[in-house]
Amino acid sequence: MDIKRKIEKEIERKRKLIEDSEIIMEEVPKHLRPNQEFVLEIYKSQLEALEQELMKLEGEDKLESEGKLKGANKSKKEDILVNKNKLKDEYMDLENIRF
Amino acid sequence: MAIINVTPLIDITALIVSDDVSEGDVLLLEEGIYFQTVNITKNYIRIVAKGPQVIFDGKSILLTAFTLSNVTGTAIEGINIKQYRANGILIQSGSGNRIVNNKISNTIGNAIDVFGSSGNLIWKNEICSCSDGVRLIQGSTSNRVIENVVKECFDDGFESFLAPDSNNAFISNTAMRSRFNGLDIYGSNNLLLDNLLIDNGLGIIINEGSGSVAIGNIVKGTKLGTHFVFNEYTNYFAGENNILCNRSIGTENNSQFGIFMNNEIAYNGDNGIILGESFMANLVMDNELVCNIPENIVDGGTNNNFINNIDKPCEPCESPSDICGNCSYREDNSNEELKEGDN
Repeated sequence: MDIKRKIEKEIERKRKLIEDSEIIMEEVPKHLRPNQEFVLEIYKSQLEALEQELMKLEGEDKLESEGKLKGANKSKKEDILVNKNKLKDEYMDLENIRF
Repeated sequence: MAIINVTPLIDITALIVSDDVSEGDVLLLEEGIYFQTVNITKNYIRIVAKGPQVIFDGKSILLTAFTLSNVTGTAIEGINIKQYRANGILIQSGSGNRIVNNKISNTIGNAIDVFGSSGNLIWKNEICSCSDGVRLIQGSTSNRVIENVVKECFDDGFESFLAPDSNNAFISNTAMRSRFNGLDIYGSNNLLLDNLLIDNGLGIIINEGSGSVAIGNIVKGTKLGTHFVFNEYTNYFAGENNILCNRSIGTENNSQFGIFMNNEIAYNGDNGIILGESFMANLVMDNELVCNIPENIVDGGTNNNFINNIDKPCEPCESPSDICGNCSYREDNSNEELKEGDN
């Protein structure tokens, strides 16, 4: 389901940001760390919220898969978003670039 | 209430937390390079740049320049923000904050991220080389995103993330050369008014909800798709939009009970308007469809009503490639060129 995929991608992105930030924290001057940790906690809470959203959707998906798929052009819609996500995957490498 | 002068050497977060700063105070930032993250946890703090060279540089180490957490009435005005690893400005569970006239570039995450927040104003910001320019997520509602310019972002220009992100207004914004969508709009009752979308991957995406309105937007030069309204969307209104010279279908619509009127859909490199199988009970009226190849209108839907649409084939030497071949827009005068082209 495209919405699910969208949230999954966002979760993936946020997890990577948190992981990288925890590593990079050592490079942050000590006097600046408390503020970075404050922001990091916010991102962690965002991640938690997104994970809960995903779990909710997975529950709905399960119910839906027991019924029939709604919408005649669902596959088309999925194709467009899958393509977009595929392109995004290729582009995720950018996250490793430092300006 | 006071005006407090601030230099790059002052820890602004600590200053805000201290008793030296009260609600309503203005922090007037001297020009210089600030290497810090400012966490704002007090209401009605106004952070204002004294000149154009107030620069927040995260040096690809710091996460955000400004984090507004659970606050109301903050103003961030005139700041130059660059090279932060996450967002330029993050509004988390805030309301009524004003983000005005800032320049944000080279953030790995979204330039301005609005998470679970309402009633914020994002006005006249210039954004370049970020992920999304402005994103509203996790139940962000009633935000006003006005007259921002977003260029060369590697995701979307403007995005409302999912269905709960509703009742937002996107007015007179520009998105140029975003890798994906100019306007990626999920949710209900969002307003898309007079936006200019040029050379993006896709133009306008409408999904998950009902009742959004798109008026007077210009979509030009998209590569992957132009104006999609997905199925299950109901009561969408599109009026007086100009959808010109895009590489693919002008408008692809699979929604229900919508109204499409007075749109100009011309010189697109695929069909002008496709009404998909689940497109039903819509009113398509007074649209001008010119020289979309192969067809101006393809109706695969049911029970749609067509009134007074102009359906013109290509004139000799007026194919999309003839008309749009020289559609390269300079950044400084794209509006003027388009207006001239319309006459």
